[in-house]
Amino acid sequence: MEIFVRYVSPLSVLLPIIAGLVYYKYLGTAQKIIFYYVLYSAFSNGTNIYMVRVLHKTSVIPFAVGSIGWVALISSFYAVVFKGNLSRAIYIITFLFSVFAVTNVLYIQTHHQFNTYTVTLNAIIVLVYAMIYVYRQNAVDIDASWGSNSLNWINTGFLLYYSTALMMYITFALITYEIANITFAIHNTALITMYVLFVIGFKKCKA
Amino acid sequence: MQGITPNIYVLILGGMVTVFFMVLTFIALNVRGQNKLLKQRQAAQKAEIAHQKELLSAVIESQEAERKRVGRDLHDDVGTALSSLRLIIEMSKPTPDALSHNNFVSSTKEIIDKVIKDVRSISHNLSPTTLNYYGLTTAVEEHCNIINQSGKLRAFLIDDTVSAISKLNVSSATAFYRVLEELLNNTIKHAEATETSIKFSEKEDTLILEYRDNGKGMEPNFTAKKGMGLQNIESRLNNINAGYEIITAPGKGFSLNISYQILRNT
Repeated sequence: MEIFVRYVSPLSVLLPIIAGLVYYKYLGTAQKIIFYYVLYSAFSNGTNIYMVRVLHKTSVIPFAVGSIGWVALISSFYAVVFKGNLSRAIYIITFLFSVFAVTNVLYIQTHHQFNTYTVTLNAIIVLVYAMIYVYRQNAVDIDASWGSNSLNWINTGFLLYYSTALMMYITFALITYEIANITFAIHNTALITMYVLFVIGFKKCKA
Repeated sequence: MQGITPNIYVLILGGMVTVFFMVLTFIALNVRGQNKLLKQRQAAQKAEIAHQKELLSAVIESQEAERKRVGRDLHDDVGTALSSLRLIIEMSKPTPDALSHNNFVSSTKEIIDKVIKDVRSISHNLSPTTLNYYGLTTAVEEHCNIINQSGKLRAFLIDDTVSAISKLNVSSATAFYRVLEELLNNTIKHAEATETSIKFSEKEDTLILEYRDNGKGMEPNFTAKKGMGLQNIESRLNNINAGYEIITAPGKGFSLNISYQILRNT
């Protein structure tokens, strides 16, 4: 399980990166944002792993700053997908979230604690976007099968990962060393699932 | 507290797994629902295309039937009459006998009159001149008179309109005339009716046409096996954006109510 948590799941980010590079010329604006999101995640998590395992410094700064980037990129993705008034609201939400994330790391949870408030809010925001996407998909007349739409796969990835992660973030204070590995194993399974769904989403752009 | 802690672990891990599978189930159901809707929509589109094809083939078939009828009428009536005329002229010899000369003149006149009548009848069927010159009501009235003279059916025309019919453009008036012609034809051929009524009325900017006969009627689910005549009617009405409703039952006669918004379609 440790190998899975420590090596397999961090390396799984390479799947959507490779797929993104292979299918890059077929990707639309929204899918390209997801590709940058994956690159940003790889960089952010890589920095964190390097700090912990090589420099032996525990820091939550990459997570605190990372959340702002994640929300900004995911918001941009949904702003492109939704268009119109809703995209304007998304940019306002992103700005407010950034203010909250900075306030949280400076005054509320500080950089000595894992920023559970920020990541929880991050997950909630993404889940709201994803549910709005599902609602809108059901409201419009579809002229192709669900599976042929690249955005459906990406949205499903967000729904699966962030719903599972939300559960972990909410209960993070209760997670002790004994169950940390299994908790992260479940979290990372959802993460790999999301990356695999991104790969399918990128591949669907070619069709 | 010691006893509670393991339960919390179970709750956390169980909660994460449950949420994961709940979302998975939600997505699966959503995908199934969307694909089902898509299939239904595609089936409806296919049915619509098939229906349009049927209508188109009905139009083509009716055009072909019309050509055949015109050809037959020309061949059987005009052609035969002109051949007879040619024969009479050929057979005639100059004679001082006034009686035979008069017979020759009256025979040729008779045949020429018949040719004129036949040509008029054919051209009337192709394009009713009364409709172009005197309007829909007069053309329908004339058609009813011809039917009444045949003695097969009594056709009544009631016109309660004030100005609606005069507002109709030529293509709509022609469509109405052809629909009525087809309806009367169907009534004569299939309905075994003794009486039929045609009523024009208007309500605001809508022209209403009510057609009724007292014939044997049809099964209410006749739509599945519509004949060419009914398909033609449907095609013409759809073409001018007229709404229509057919009411019929075995032994209860046949009714067709048409409503046509004049302002929207002119």
